Amino acid sequence: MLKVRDLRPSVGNNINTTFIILEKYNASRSDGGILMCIALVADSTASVHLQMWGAECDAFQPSDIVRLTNGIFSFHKANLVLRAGKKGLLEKIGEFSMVFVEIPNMSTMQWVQDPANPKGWIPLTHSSPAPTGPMLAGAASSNPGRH
Amino acid sequence: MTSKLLHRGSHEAQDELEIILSQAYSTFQAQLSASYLSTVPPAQRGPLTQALLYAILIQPQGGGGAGASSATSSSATSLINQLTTITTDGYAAFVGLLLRLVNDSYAKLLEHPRGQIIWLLKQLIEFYATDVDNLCLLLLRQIMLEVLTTKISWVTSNHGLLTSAVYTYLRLLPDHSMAKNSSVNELRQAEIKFCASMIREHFQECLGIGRDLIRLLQDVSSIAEFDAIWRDLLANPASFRVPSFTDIGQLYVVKTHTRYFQSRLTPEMEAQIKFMLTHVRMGSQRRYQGWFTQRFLSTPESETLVCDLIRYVCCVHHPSNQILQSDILPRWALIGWLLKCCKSNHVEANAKLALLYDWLFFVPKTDNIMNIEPGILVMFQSIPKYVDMTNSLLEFLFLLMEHYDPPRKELLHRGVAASVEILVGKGVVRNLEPLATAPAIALPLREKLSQL
Repeated sequence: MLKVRDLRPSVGNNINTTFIILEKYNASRSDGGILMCIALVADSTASVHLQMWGAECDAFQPSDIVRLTNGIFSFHKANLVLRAGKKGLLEKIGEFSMVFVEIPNMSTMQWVQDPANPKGWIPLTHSSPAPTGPMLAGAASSNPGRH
Repeated sequence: MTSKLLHRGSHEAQDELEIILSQAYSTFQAQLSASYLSTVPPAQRGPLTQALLYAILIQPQGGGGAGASSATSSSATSLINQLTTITTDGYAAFVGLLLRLVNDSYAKLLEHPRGQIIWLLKQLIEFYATDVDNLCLLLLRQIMLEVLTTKISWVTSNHGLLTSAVYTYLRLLPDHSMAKNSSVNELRQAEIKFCASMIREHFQECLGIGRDLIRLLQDVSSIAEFDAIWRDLLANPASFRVPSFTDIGQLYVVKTHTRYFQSRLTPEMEAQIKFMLTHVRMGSQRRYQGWFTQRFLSTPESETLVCDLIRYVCCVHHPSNQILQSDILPRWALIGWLLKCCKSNHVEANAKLALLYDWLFFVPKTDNIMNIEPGILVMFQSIPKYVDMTNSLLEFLFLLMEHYDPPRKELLHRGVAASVEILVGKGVVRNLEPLATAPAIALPLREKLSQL
């Protein structure tokens, strides 16, 4: 089980993690007309924005404890989000009884290229090497309702 | 004509509601066996709803229940589908009929319609039908009362069950009287009668409930039967025919067992409260409190739950030393939040009483300091940011000491003095200085404190 703090942006769909839903933001329709909404979710190590599609939007509520299998953590438009994707699955496994922290938020923090791995990204912290290559930022504002 | 819904005595007139339902059924019977209903004019919806209810209740077992195939055009499942197609009010009218039937005639219902009602309840819950929770509660109450009254000798020989039933009814009766649905009157009368007779005829056992029996009896003292019990408790204790019981003060010193407080919380509530007090750090409780409120405290009727929660937190959940020394959410902080959840004055007063109740009668030999610790800490920790809370609690405490039971004032004063003594003695607080010297606390209260 991956901890939220250990999420790294990637195109792979191999994220297995468990979290609790803290808040859901207003749903909107994507370009293709599909219902989409963002939720703030967290575990004991960090928080992140979860993007839900279609029926997922109504299926999960704040305080639900959810397990994600084969998920993806990557950019969707300007936002770095966790989602199930086509091959992944979100399942409710409980309610309420999970400890969480809201800081750091993996979706809104800044990322730098991993010097050890050109295709990889690591969180920008005080002890990160000075960025020599591109930097990624999470959503431009911490309000995920704006796209 | 033989009744298909209700038992009917040989000289008993047919029940009014049953007449309405069965006549509606006769009128629409042909239409119901069609597998769909053509567009229904609004004027017909009412009678058609009645017909559908009657049809479902008398539907033979083979056509209804779980796993039944809906191929049979008049099966209970297809009937309820028909109900869905004509319903425009969230099933409000349908549930209204059921409420009336269960309220007025539950005891007379035949076996088969009773079973169908349970099946219907489950369907209606799936549909999120209007008022289905009231229906569920009403059924529970009816079933409980029926079991208790028909098996009364078994109940009275099972003292644990008897006292739990009395405690539960006493606790619920004020809530039921607040309910706007006045049609629960007959059921309520039956519950009152059962409860009062248990207290009078099995007083020795009820004494075992302890001091919270008094607290609960006060909340129902406006009900005639309990007012009579009060008068006798105060002026005529011998009428209860328990030789050792001579004064109500004897009940004050009996601690109420934790199982009674536990019985007022559902397992889910208990799990969530325990989780907050065991795993959530101080400062991180905001979201959990919001979720708890939304789930359990969001209706006006649910407000009285706060008193049960406070009794539970004070008397049942005693954190370990390890937790006490950690940064985990302390009980006083949770109680501060619960006190703020009260919207009406009446509930707020009851909540404060729930918090301070064990203070009034504290007996060092038998009472537990952990029951009174949250009370003093709420007062201390609310200074200075929430000093209104401290003022309010202190004021209430002094009011209780003078007016809760004026002839027995001495007893209450002794209890509070004993509480303060042990709280300071065991180091829960170093002394009362912070309360006695805080300028934000009203002067008269500070003066009374110095007399403690």
